[in-house]
Amino acid sequence: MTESMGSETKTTSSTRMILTLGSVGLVASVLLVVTYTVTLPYIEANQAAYLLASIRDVLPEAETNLAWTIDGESVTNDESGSGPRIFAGFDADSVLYGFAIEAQGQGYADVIRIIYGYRPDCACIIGMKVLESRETPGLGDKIGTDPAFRSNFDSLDVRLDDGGIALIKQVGKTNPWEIDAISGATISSEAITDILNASNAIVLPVIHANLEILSRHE
Amino acid sequence: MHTESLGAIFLNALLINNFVLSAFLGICPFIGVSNRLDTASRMGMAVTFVMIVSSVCAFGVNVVLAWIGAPYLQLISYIVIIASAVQLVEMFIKKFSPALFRALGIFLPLITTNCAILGLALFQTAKEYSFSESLVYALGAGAGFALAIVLMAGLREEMELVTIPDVVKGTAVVLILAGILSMTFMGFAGLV
Amino acid sequence: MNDFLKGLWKENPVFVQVLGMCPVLAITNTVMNSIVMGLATTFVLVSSAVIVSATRSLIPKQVRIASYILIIATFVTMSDYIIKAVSLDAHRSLGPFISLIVVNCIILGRAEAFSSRNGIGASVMDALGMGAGFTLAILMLGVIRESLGSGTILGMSVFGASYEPWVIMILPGGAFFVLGFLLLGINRFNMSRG
Repeated sequence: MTESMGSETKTTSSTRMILTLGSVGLVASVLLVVTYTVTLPYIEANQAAYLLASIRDVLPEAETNLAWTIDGESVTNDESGSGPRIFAGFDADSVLYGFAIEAQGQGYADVIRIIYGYRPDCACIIGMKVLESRETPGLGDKIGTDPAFRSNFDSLDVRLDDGGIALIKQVGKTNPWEIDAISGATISSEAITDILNASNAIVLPVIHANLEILSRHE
Repeated sequence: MHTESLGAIFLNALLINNFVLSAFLGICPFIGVSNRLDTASRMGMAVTFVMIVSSVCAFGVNVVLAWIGAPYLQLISYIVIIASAVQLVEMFIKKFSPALFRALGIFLPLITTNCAILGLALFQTAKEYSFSESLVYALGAGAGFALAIVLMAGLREEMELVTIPDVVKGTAVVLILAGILSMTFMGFAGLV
Repeated sequence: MNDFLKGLWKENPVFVQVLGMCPVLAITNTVMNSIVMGLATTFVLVSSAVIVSATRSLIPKQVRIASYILIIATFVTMSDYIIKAVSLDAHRSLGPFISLIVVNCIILGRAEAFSSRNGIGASVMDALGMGAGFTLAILMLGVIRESLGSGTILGMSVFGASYEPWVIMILPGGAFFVLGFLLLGINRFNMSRG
């Protein structure tokens, strides 16, 4: 049942064209505002759940957490800051347990985003999770999945006066501040080391300087 | 908070995560316009130009949308910008080089539906690039597209001089060649 | 009924019309991605078909492309938010390719070639057919790429734990190869019949 465009011989006025586009735009905007408002609570719930799960992954004892942003030498609650984000994790008794720190850096293929757990009382990293990576599947992406690599981060010494974390390429680390690389994925492993070292250099001094503020559970 | 240098961003878009061969953007013109070397290079230039213009405008639009709190209008605004950018480039080329305009023909308006341009705007927003980072990214992306399409055109022109089996003629052989090209470009990973 | 069936094979948007290449290659690395993308694309196809067909006598010729694009972009944005609300994981793996549905030439093509000239019922059938054909095509690619490249389908192992994955399949090069060889196969099939 095809209809021919009978109005071809009539010139369409500009008003008609503007009116059409305008109405389409108006209906479109209404539809979008409705969709946005309806889906917003679900999206926010999803994102909060994902963040909580990631923090729990690297800070197993954390029941609740408070988000802070690093601002120069101090910390702020201001979420719009551009500094690195950290999450102060509190256990069931509302005592400060540790921090989950977000970090990112260039990997082999693209930027890698991670979150890692840090406990100030032992000055060590207790867990690391890869949030986003585009590393080579089956090789570089093992930084997220290989249990042996991940066990590197179960209690990694990162005391402030040390030279930082060192990557050992031939498996067989001897010191608590060393991590074993994944064979066949040296660059991705190096990337994680670099990301952690760079992040620690900025974040850890600020955490220790502001420990009192960060321990507050309000 | 970004750790990528401008040079790294450029090389990334150009070689390591080449827009066509890695990120799969701009495939339609890549297949459609790569049969002649001269049209391919012109298409590459036109796309780069439109990319730079759109990138700048998309950055501006994002600032406005964030200010009025209407992130859901992002896609629509980007499309409008790209369509206008293409119109602008078309008028510009028509005025300053009628020969080039005739040579590009139908391809110019087709750039509007080129997913590479919209893809560029979306990627740069997702990566939260600053203004200078977006600009460099657009340059790299355009150059990457031009590189890919010119390479393919060169290969296809060479292929015309030999006999290839009937089964592969057309899109099939372009895709297989693209696969080989994509694999070779993988060698660039780790460059930065 | 024919309007529906032609999208599946004779005028299959991916294999015959060779349209909408970008998502076909990009997201077919897992079967789940293909399913979500197929659903989203079909949703946009059908909803825009309804609107374009219903308003076809109201929209002046000169602004029709602009109007169609506005309509399509709206439904694509809606799909984007809906997917994000339902599953953050799916949204993350598909990334910006959901938004890129808007420049998928299939949708604009159908709006221009069919929905703007036919009644709502026929347009919906046509859109469903094209959507089904598209989904079938990307599912085929997804199954081949995921099973060969990761040894799994929908995350479940198919070849057993000792399977050494053919990694190139889930990398960009593999996408090009699989589609290229599929088209080659179809050429062969058509040549032997005609």
